[in-house]
Amino acid sequence: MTNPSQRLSPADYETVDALAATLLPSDDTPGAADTPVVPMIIGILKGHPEQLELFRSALARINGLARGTYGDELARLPPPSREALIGSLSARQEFHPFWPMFRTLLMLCFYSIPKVCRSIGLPGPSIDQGGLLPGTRGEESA
Amino acid sequence: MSSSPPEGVYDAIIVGMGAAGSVFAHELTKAGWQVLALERGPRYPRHLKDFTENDMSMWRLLWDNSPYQVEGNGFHRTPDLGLGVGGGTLSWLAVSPRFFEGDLRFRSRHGRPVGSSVEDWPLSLAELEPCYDEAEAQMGVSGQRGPWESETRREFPNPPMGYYKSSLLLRDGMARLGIRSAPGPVAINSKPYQGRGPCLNCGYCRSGCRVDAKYQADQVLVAPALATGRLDLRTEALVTRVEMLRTGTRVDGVTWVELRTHREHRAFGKVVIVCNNPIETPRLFLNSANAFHPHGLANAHDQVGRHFFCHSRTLGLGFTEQELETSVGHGMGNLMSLDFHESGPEQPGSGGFSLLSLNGTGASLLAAEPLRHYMGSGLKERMKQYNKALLLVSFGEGLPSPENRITVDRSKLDSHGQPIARVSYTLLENDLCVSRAAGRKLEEVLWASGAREVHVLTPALEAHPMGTMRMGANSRLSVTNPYGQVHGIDNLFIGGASLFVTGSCVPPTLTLHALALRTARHLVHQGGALLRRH
Repeated sequence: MTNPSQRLSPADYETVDALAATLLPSDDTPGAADTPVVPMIIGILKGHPEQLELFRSALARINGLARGTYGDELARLPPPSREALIGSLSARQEFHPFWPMFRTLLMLCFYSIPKVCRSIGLPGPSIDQGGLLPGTRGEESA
Repeated sequence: MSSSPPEGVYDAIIVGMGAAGSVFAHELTKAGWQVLALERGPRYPRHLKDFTENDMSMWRLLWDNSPYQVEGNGFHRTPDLGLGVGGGTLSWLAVSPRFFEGDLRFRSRHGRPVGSSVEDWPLSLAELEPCYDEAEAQMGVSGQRGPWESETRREFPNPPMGYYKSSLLLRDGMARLGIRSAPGPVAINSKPYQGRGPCLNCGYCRSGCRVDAKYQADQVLVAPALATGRLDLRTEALVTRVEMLRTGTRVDGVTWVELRTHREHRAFGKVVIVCNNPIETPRLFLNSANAFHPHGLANAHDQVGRHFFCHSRTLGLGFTEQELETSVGHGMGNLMSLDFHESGPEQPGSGGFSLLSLNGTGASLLAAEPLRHYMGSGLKERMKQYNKALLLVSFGEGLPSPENRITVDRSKLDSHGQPIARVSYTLLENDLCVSRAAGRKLEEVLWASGAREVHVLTPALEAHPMGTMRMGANSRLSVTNPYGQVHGIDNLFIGGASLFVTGSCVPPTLTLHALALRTARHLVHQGGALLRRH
């Protein structure tokens, strides 16, 4: 059984969901909320207790900042306040190295999900169909 | 254990079966040596089934940098070091230019920039050229002679890859600025080569090439070594110490842990060759301190782990109005310029930078890096334009410094009781100067190539760790001699980029492969004496 201290709490989950959905909202293409991106991130963290602890403490500080600035937890803020707060995180030294790590992990996971890849025109797996052949190329170099 | 030597002592033990270790395994078994190879990661024997076309699949092929303690502003844990049999060649993008003669004569040409510890390499390009020729032949490098290269260089084994649509725009953009370009030499088959098929342009080089169009050392070198019956390959095997039991001038073998069972073993060898990455090789030496070498193996002059450096990696993105199918094709170097590989009016620092086109499915990297200041609809709308994007990367030459180094933190142990590595890496002013110049040039090229919106990631991130066990003639300033033989320990050798004295501005794999071939040949020629002395 997993030690509770090695897991994110439901409140932590909610905050990660809010961060992901704000960075990658749903529109005419899938957003974070339409994909399993948050469980993917949490799954990666499970093998890295130190990073998990970094996340837990940073998520607590984000909610502390949200309460101090806007009077409520991040997940319960209206979208404009949530966006303003999240937009300020990258410039705040106290959220390093959490913020760049979280954002990078989110993007790497999200843009590897097949339906997200298709939504931006990536071809997806092709080798079993013979790959992507000439016609996709420009003129020869030699 | 079918490959175990009857007397229980291997001719050679190879620690780490990555890009360099695979070369040693291939060469030494071919010469009749009985070899034990120990690799921390797994082996993927069926690439078509074992690899999947998805960007997330690359992570299992990469070394985990997260446990390291980090000091300074230069190390962000981004280097894509490899894990598993084949090492970095499983996830690499296969760009394979040679170093220039000037790269090996850095100190003579540029002096010693402030804070650096640059030296000349203890060998010349002419000495390395036969090994470069052979390395290119083993890898099946596709390319054509660039305007920067000697007219006497041997032809590439394969013709160049065809240019992609985005490469043509970049080529024309560079030409408008007076910058010369050429198809990058890539270890990817442009046509069938030695039983391996041509590139199918799937765009997923980073996740392992399912059809082996890309050079992957496990398939090209390790499989034939295993077929000799003289290679005992142990995977998920972590070497915790190099053992020196009888004298301070020879090693006797290694202690290793079977990761699946946590059982500890000791193996004996007449020669030990350590081919881990430039962080893990010095870590192993420092953790192998003994009564003869109390400060770490071969560390009497406090050189083990010092002179660490990386390339600076700057990524540029330009959105155009045209459909370019950016996601299609091999990942890096379809087009390359080395016009700035030396200092010049536009690059006032010492050393230089390369320019390389990017293609393939690395959309996530775009969102993570050059677009990192965007969120919400601003980010998503840009990502929808991925196939209209021009992508360029630059590698800037970073310089070694004695203070940039790998040490071990004896208060922090891994799950096997071994001190973990501490990476101390602070960028020098010259490093910053080179990467700033690279960023400016990326931006110019992207605008000149027809981009309507340009993003260049600054500051640069690190790539291609090098140094820490550098070669040299002087044992007070280096760890090994020019053959990678550790000073004062005549049966202990090093392979890999940790040997590098300086690093040029091009990816290191071809050069470390050539160096490993050179050392392996030396071992085979000199090895009779080494083996008899056991």
